Amino acid sequence: MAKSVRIPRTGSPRRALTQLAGAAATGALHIGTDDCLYLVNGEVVFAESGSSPSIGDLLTASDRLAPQTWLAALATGGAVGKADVRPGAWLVQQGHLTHGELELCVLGAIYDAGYFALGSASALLRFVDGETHGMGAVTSIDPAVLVREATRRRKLLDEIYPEPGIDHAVVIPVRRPPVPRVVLSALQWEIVGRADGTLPPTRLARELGRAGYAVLTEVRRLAAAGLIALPAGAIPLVVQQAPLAARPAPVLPLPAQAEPPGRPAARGEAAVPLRRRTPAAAIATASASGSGAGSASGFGSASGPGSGPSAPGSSRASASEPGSASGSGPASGSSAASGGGSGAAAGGGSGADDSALPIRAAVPAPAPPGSLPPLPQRAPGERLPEIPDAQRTVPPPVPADEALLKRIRTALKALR
Amino acid sequence: MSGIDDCLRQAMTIPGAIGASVVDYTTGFALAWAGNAPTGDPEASAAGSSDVIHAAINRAPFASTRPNDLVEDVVITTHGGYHLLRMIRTDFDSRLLLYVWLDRHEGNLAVAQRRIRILADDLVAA
Repeated sequence: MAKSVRIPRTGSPRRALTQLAGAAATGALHIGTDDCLYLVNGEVVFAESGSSPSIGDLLTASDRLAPQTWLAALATGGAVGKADVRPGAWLVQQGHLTHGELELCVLGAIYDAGYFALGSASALLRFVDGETHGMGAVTSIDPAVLVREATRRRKLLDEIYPEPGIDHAVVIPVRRPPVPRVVLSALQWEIVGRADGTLPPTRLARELGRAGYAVLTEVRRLAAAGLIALPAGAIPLVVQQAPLAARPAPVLPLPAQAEPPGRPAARGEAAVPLRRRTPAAAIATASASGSGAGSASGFGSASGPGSGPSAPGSSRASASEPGSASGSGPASGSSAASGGGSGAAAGGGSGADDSALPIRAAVPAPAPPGSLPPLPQRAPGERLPEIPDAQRTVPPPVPADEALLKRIRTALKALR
Repeated sequence: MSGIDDCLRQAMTIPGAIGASVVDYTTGFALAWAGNAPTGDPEASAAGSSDVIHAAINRAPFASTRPNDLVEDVVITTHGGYHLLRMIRTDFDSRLLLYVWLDRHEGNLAVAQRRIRILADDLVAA
């Protein structure tokens, strides 16, 4: 009966999973290039995702198992004549793991991978009938529960901070926290410690041996607290440019992303259209529209390092008219600033020619550590370097505000 | 062999036990359950117990500043029952708790706490 199910080559992974469950299919549903759900009689028995740590990652990164033990277990599972001995069963038999640990680890990994596998609204799909995973069937999960949990997890993330681009963007801790005192959870500490300005949350999760979804949760919390840079195209950025343009010479532009979401005062200027979704609406649109969070392609221009050089341009282009009109705000702002004016602001303005770091190019204030041009070191007492007149930048003469001067003079006269 | 189902089955043999579940408190999701849940909905009680654990481990007064002095369990006493939330500590990354609901008149809190500690430890220790 499983053969009667026809899975479209491209479509919703959720719908495909529901179809296969209805047909009590046995096999592997490959989703995109990295994700795969394994079914036995319509129940999900295992899931893998390129975005979440594997069982091996989880067990070895925590030192629960030595890497050699894990490799030995994998070899056992594949050995000829021992097809019935699965790696998991072998680990339990040999006393490396308890049965409870194995079950908990596999269950956690399935829900974690399932979140990523079922996240996209549409993906390349391929069902291989009868294909099984080397881990065998340690446990089984009703696909409807898996789908519902994936939806719920998306909703929980958006309740923390409704900006799905954060999930795919490189994690860059801000240089200066926007508050004098910062409290981090243990996992946030690990994330900030490992974030080197090149790793997105899913890669961090694998490196840390932490569940992918748990890392997404903490990264969104960090973003909500203003402790990491927001990706290009993130909503506060578009609005942030308007006040920056209005203020001529910001020495260190206050990152508007420091503001928690839902505080309209900081993003002011209602003229700039907010591409903000309410959490509830986000779920609806995420699965329906191409710009939704889940589809990796939808956020390519915003977050993918590969598309870096075009990021500033495309993010501006995708912003609607008022947004792109104010897009030149930071650039003009920083050029109007004094000569030494704020490397951070200049970094934001000159984003277009710094193609190596797309995220930094589009985010004005925060830059990865050490990315600012270092000031030349001077020995104590050394004379300031001579600057030729040609190179000296003379600030344009500011036309006197006669009305203001008059008011000041009047006020001074009144004081006498 | 002590798997999750076995653990829950034994939890239900604790005198006064009405329901038991293993909850992933990252998201407040019941991975497995047995017996009844306070609202009749194991998922709602999983979400509720997760909120309680988050309050206990994240709010400063309860989280000790001394290293490795971690929250082990939380007991909520109501007029009619005891709700025991026991952290399940795995070496690999997970955020799990064992939740057991007891009838207050049939149950004995000290006995139940001890049994649940042993169950949670046995689940993940060889």
